[in-house]
Amino acid sequence: MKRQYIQKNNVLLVNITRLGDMLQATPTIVGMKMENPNCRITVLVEKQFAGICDLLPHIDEVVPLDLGTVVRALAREGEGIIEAFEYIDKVVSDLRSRNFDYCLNMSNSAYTAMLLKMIGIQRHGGWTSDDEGYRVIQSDWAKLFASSVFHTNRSYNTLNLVDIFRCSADVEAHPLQLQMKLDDDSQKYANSLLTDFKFTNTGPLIALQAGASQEKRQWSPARFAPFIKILRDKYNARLVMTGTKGELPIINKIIEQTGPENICVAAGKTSLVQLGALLKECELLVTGDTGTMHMSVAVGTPVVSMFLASALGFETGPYSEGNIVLQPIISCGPCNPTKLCARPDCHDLIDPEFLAELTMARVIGDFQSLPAHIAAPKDLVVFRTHFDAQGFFDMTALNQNFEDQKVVKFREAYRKLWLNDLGEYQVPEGEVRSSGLGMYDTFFEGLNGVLSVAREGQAQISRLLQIVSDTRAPATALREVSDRLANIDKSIEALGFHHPELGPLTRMFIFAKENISGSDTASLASQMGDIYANLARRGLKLSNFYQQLN
Amino acid sequence: MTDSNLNSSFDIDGRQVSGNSVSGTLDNFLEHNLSLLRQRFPRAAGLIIEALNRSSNVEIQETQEGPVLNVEGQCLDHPTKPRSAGAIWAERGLNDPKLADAEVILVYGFGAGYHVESLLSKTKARVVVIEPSAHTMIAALKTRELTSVISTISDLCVGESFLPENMPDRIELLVRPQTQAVNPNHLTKVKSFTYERRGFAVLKPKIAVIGPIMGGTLPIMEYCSRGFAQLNQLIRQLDMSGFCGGFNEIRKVLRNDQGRTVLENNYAQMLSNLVLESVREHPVDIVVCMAQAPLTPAALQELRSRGIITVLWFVEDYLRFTYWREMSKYYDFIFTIQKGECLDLIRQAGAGEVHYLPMAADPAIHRPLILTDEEKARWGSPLSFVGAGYYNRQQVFASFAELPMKIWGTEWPDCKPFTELVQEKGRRLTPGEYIKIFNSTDININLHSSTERGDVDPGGDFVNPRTFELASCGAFQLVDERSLLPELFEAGTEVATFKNSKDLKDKISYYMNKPGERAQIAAAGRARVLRDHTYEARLRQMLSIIYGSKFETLNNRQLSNPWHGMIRRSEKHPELQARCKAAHARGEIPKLDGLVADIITGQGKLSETEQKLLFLHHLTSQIVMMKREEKKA
Repeated sequence: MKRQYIQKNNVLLVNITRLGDMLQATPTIVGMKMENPNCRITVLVEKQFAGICDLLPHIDEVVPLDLGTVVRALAREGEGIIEAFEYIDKVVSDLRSRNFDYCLNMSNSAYTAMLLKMIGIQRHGGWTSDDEGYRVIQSDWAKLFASSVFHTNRSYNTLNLVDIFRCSADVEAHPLQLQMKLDDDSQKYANSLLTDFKFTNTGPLIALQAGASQEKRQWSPARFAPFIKILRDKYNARLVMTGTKGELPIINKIIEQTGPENICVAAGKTSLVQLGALLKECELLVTGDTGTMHMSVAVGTPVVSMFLASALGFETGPYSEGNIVLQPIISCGPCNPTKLCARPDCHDLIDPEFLAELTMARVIGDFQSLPAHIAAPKDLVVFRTHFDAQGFFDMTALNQNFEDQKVVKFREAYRKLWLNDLGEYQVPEGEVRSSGLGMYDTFFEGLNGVLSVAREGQAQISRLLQIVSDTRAPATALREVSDRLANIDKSIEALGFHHPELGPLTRMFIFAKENISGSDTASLASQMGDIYANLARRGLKLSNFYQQLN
Repeated sequence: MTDSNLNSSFDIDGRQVSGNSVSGTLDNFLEHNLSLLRQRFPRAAGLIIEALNRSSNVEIQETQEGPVLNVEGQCLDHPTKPRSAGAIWAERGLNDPKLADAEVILVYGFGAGYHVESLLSKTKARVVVIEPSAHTMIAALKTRELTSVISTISDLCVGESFLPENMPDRIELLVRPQTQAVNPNHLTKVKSFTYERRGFAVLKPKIAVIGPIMGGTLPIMEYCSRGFAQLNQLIRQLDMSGFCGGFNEIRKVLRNDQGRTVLENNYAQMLSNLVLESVREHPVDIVVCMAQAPLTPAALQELRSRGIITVLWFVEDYLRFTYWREMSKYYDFIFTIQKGECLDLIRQAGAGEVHYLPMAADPAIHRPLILTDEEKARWGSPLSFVGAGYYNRQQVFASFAELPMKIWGTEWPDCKPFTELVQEKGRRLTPGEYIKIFNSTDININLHSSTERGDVDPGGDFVNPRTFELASCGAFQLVDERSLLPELFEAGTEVATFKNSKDLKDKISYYMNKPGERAQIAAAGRARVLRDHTYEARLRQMLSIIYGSKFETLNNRQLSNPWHGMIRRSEKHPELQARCKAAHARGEIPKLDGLVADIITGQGKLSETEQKLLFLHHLTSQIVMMKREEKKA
């Protein structure tokens, strides 16, 4: 694997918020320790999440950032602003004194980028800020992260964020599962919670996570209820409803329809570590794309997860082998996470009875193909999670479905492209041919356009370097080249919009361009030349990988 | 005993000329003190000497701590312990935070001088004394030996018309309540003198200028905003003219007067609420309303309840526009373009203070122009009039058909001779257009409007804006005589005037063939405007009055401004403190947004302080965004 910074001894990991994000960082943390056991890992985390870090392995120190106090001080305005300033001043000098030699910040928030700029760490794997305060992304993998989550590009991504995160930090060796520490007390608490409930059923113990971060991503109680009834009444299952206290209203709605028998409501009764212990006791978790899903994976309990609305299984799917991911096929999905949905039709594509059958099949054991008795609908992809030869998370569809095969092929072609081009992994490339192969596909039209302007860009950069080195060159020449380059860049961006399958390629170009740094014209031109060259090279590779699949 | 009983005869230099004094010691004190005064403060000494032979109402009483002075039952010192009480007064005064950075302390009231003596011993600031009564000063000079006081004070002003000169900006007033009780009106003058100077130096209030939604006052709002800006004031213009269309639509849609009035009031109410919300969002300290600004009494009350000073520049004829009767009580200050009864009536109607403030010109707009031949052909003529077709104007110009005249403006009758005289179908002109007319006309007629008279209004007092604008353009004008005109322009030298329509025709005939004389008068008129009649000068006068009267209110408001706390609190971080000061001076709101405003729009390498502030700014933005998303979810 190609690495940017090989040796890291004193690492700062910025993981400000969210349980799921932290759990998803564990393969990277463990991988760093696997590669360098002496590496010291410090995690900067928002104070209220600091306790979670105790559950994660191999963290040497947790630095809590009291953003709540800062925000409250800022809200007071006036002198509160000075108080907030002084707090940050203190945090910065404290962090600066620790002399980190590497930082990985996979949050794209402007404030963490600025914080890292202030700390002054020289080597980065993710986001930071430049001298003028603009956000910059320091590794190609992190640029891929930014490109892949760009709305229209999501459909072409098969790389899980755990792996992109890991590769951004140059971590190759890693566990093929999220990690979490449990303790005996929690285990005892979980056991007593289950024992005290006094199930009358004797079937499998199945956990259910009904709540999710957004309403549109949580399967409706009207669908959960019949699903639960089948598990409980037909399969004698013992059910545990997990969640937070805040999620009780949605659980109550379900219980109103099912009745309380054999449904242990653990929501609001567990701490995070107790929840982990409880999940460990269960045979399976049925969930949406939630922090509980990641926790279940981390404690080794398989999951059947529904990736509804804006959730995309390839991106944030359960990072371990043998989980089931259900991804509805719907023209609006995966939708924009920031937009509300008035009619989440994707929910209707998962039938409660089908889900119950699938759940019970997975309870029995892992499978490589769908059991014969389960008829999966074609407007839903039933994926099984696994890892490829390089240790990257992947998912294979187990059912015949209506997925657009062109999108599927591009997904695969892009996977090969990024592993090969960014990671320098050997993937079968096939014969490299020039573009424009005579077969009609709008992709080639667009790609030809991209390649042509990328070459034109390279030519203009050569001209620019000549002009810069020629003291007699007229000032108008520089302006002319600069205008030409601006038009080229606009064309590349436009091609990415007109040909969605080129979006990830052109978006990577845009991010790379935005991250050029320095003030020396020749150096800037040289960096830009590399970016055009990268675009042209990647375009050709994508074309090859795509053709191999046709 | 009264001081008059102690009088001896003194010559013009204050020396005793007869030997019939009751107490040689007292007279010795006086002679000695006066001698010192003559050396140090000859003007004060002169005024005292002038008053020496006049009868006095000051009585001297003895106490255990020395003599004290009484005026008509009011003891000017502590009646029993003047020395100790004077020391306490001085101590308390010096502890007042407002004196912290005072370079000069202006003491109002001398009495027997114990408090001044004590003050001088406790402060390094320069002390200037104002004693409004020469007789009090004489009594003090007689009763006590004041060598150290007279030698140490920086200046002494005696009498009611004598104020110190060459005072620095950092001047602060300490008032003896006893003297205030005897001379309340004079103290107002002294306060105004002290605080207008200090106000310009110290105060940085935010001033909102609110204009009308339509009408002739609209451009004046622009001129005022520019004038305030020229005075380095923090100005915010609330231009309501964009709402004119909506207002007119109501008139178009509804014919029923009653219904229309209700809706027009609702519309005005909505605009008032808009102003209130806007002021809530971006707080101000002073609201200056132009005449017809759409603010309801409730809105003005609300503004005042928030401690905002409300000001109206009532640039209209109070006899024709009478809404001041209902609105005056909601304003802290009303400035009028008329004097006399106007001031009294508006004051009686409840306005806090009423002052005369005539109109002016904006030399940036009203200026001489070089016009192209095409422009001259379009806008120029030997004789022109710009203005609406009021009754008296129609009457006067009806007989001007034979003259080479152009009339510009609205509301002229559609009949002869106006069909020939009125230009461009009587449309409304922009200031830019009428300035071209002024600049390309040989004789500009300026006839003040009247709806009652058929000619020049013989009782006309105020001077219209056109008079100042024409003069500022360096344009020659013939203006009808107004009672307030002579104090603003010298007739015949700076403007040419006429008494009535016959006189107007005579003057036109006279000046038509006198281009040199016209040019001379026009140049003198322009020089006078530039010297005395700019909006900048008027607004300086307006602010002087407001600062003089409301210095303490504005200063307290300013001191309670969060920027002060922020500046104080950030002293350990010099760059941050400098940023706070700069943002405060720029008039930014005391919020993080105000502190980072110039960082966000700026370019170049960020300093560490800037990075920290941007961090806080980004954090806040993220929280706001997250909250919005949570709400959506």
